[in-house]
Amino acid sequence: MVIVPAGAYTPFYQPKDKKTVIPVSSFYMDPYAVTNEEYLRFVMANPSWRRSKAPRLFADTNYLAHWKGDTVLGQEQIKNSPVTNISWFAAKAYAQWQKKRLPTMAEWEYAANANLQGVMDENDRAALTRIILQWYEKPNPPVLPSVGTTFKNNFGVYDMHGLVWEWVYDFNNRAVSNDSRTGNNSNTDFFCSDGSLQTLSKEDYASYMRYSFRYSLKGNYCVKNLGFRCVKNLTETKK
Amino acid sequence: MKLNHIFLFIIVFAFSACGDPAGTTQREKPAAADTILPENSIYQLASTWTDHRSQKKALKQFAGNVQVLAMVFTHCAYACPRIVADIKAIEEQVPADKRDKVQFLLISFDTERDTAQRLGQFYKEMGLNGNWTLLHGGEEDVRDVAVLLNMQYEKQSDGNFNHSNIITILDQKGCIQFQQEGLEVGSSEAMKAIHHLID
Repeated sequence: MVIVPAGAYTPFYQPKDKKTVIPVSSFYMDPYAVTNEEYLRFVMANPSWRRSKAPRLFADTNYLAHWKGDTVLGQEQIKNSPVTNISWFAAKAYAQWQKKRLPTMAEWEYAANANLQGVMDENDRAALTRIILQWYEKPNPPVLPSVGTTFKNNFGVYDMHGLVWEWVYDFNNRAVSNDSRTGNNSNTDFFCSDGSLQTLSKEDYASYMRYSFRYSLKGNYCVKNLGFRCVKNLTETKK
Repeated sequence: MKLNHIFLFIIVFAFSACGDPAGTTQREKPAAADTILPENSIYQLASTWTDHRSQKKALKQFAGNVQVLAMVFTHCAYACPRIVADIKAIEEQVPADKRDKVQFLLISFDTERDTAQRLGQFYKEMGLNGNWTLLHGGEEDVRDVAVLLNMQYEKQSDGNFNHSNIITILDQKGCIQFQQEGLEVGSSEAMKAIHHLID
């Protein structure tokens, strides 16, 4: 794992009145997404997470649909590709088994916002944006490339964009950042959150896509281009 | 920004596995309590909770009755008291001879402040009765339930929460049979769902 230094996450959706910035403590992050081969080891050790055993409540019918069988990948070339068709519950169980956890949205977004390795000017986002948009334009490849094949960022983390979408622990965080409790808001304000928020940058189509996708998920959804990676607290590892 | 699908006012779930009368057959097997739960039952979550009387509770202990369920936090000044009022309105419409078949469950997402004691206090303040249970749980356990109920919530820097307002009706085996989102949206659809389960 690599150490991601402390920093701050600026949520994509912002309340109109004040800019919100969330501090992020330093943490360990997997440099790569979890691969099929790694996930297979988990399934071997935890039979209740086999494709035929996992309850539909926790993993829908697409769970590991690209594998040949319960404990058979079937294709040599997917060994080092990120595991996908994986639910939030399954990803969380894997992380726990590894004595790790899923990143929070703040941690993931903060890590993913780091620039390409070597680009020291944080305002020079052109190359990073190009990678993201080129990825969105391409249809899903029949076989996902191996982890580590897109780009490394300034934190030493690979493939934060360009390979798969990734689960975060708190994907069901409320998009609304305005206060829903004071009674000053009408119901309309509360439910149609889009009216009371604005995005950081209207041009940031990539972030718009990512946030929209995330909010459309449910915990048992298994999607063929959605994988995950784990993180760990810094303090727990120091002994 | 259109996320209309998230803001659907009324979402009706019909999980075939849950309506299956064959599933009610109790088998005399060790650990039967786990194995007889339908695949969509949220009682499959193995987490342990503490109720407003400081009693330890597993979710599957709520099996056997219909549960009208909402997630709240007791420091909530606006939405949560109204959600409780909405559920009380449902309670009042349960026929007197069916009162023992329907229970009411409030799960707090304020894992820090909503201790068992605080929940006990809220129980009194809201004038609740023995058909109601308020649950305190760990952060990850609360997240699991919220995810299964499609609840969105987010803790704010002041310790309060932004959250969606959803009333869920669980059948006797813990499967979601009905959900409605919003405050004061009326109870007629919820009552239909309840009657379907208890009549």
